[in-house]
Amino acid sequence: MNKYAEDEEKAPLLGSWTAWYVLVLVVLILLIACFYWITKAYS
Amino acid sequence: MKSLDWVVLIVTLSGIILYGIYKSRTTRDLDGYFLSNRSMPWYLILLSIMGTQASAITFLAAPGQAYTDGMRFVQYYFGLPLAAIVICISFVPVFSRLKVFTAYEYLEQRFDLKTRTFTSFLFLLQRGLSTGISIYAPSIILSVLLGWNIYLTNLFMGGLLIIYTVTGGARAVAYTQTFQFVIIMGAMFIAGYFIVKDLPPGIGFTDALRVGGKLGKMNVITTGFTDKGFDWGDRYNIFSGMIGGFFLLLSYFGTDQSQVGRYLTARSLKESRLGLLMNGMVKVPMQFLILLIGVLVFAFYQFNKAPAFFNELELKRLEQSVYGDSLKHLKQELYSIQQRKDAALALYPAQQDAAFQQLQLLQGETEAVRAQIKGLVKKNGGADNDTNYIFLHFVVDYLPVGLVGLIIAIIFLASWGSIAAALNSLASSTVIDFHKRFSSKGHGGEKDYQVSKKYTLLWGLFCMAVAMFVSNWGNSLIEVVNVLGSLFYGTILGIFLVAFYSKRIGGNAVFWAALMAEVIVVVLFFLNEYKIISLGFLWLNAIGALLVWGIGGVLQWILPAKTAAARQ
Repeated sequence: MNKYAEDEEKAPLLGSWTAWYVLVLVVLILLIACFYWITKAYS
Repeated sequence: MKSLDWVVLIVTLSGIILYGIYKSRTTRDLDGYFLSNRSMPWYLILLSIMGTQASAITFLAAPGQAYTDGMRFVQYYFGLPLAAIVICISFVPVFSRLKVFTAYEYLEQRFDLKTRTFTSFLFLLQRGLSTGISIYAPSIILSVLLGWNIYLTNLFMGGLLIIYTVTGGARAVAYTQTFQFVIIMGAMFIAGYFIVKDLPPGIGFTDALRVGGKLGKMNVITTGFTDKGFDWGDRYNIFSGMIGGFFLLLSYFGTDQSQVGRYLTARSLKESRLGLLMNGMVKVPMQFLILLIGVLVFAFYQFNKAPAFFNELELKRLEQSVYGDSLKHLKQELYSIQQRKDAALALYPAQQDAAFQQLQLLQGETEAVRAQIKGLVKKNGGADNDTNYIFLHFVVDYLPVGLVGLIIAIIFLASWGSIAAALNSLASSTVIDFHKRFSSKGHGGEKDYQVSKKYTLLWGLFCMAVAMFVSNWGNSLIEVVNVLGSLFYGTILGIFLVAFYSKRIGGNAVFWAALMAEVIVVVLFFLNEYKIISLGFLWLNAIGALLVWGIGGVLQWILPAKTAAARQ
């Protein structure tokens, strides 16, 4: 098995790259929600 | 600047140059020089990516942007996490599997030589010019505020980094960027602390946000909708950020060699992906914090007298012109408004609502007077945008001795980080996509290494020459660097999107589609500039990419059958 194929299989900590992508999206959604709250709270 | 500031500045810059030279040891071939032998861990990739993207103008302009327009600029980065995911799924595995040096090498395998050469040429044109302007943009600000000679400032801004970039290639670039980035973020946090510390007694961080917010600066999320519907000319809102920003950042991180060259240095596909995804998660909050400094500076100037215009040079020219008396009158008006602001703020926090009501009225008057001053500056033949001068003006006027030198050092470091990566990528594209591809002379490890060093030096000199040349044009060019990318990124991205996602479209179709799309994007840009249409520049990225795909699809359908046969 070459290096590329090995990498495809292993995603650190979360088990799969799909889980990493979901994490990135969740962080973005949380940030937007937080920013929305800041806009409402301070404007 | 005081002696201590000079000591801090010189020690910091010398330290970075020596560190870069120390980290220059690499194998004397293309793999070592341009890809650091594909040995970098994800955290170096992350910091290198961030150091490449964050130029000096990012740290100068972002606080000024928040000061004048509020926090909404952060929405421009909402497309970044989405772009990072698409790049990790489609772009990085291909680049990694093919072991390419430049992103454009892949295009020859997928389409043909002319498409690869055209795309690489567009990159070199755009990156070469914008790097020259990136040298000039912070130099003009420093030279105006500190009275330095613009040509000497250009020389230091764009010249010193060439020492370690030429000797050490990608490895020196990555290690110095890491060090630079840590210093930059540390200094920005210290600056934020001092702004809050310098607020009047009893006024804290949340009070400053409340004052900024009531005066319209905490507009982090905006929709772009008005009474007349969606405003396509509105530059920063959640939709232009998510869609336009997505296309721009997808193109920047997926197809711009200055960024592709950073994650190609990773020791594996996994490290590349981790670096990109981490960047997708930390970039938005980081940019939020940098913008927040601008809101704090804005709040600070509600309690303290703000300059009538932040570009001192233009102000002095105006004072000495026929508009001098008008300026004097407007300055008196500002002084009177400030006195009434002081009276209103004395009511805070006991009578908060009354204080804010007064402040909002007075802020409206302030903006009206500042608009008149800007009008006079323009009439006097000067640049009426002082946004990029706001933060550094505050730094020079109010921050303690030593910290001023450190903040000026980070302007240089941020500049060096992005310029070094740009020079490395310009050289790699020239060597790989042109020199080695078209030259019949013998190639080999040591020869390639020497040629690469020469091209890095040549591009460094070219970018310096651009900076020196545009120095005669005034400082309105500062904004050009922000829109220049959008003129080319859409087309380049369109070519790559077709390559990855549309196997039906061949080389001839995509090449001509790219040419047509580029012309249309440039026409749309000028129509907007001359107010014939209203279109925020971020949309040009999406339009360019979709045009390449759309026109490419039509051309593939109508082109002679032999094209399709050749594609097979």
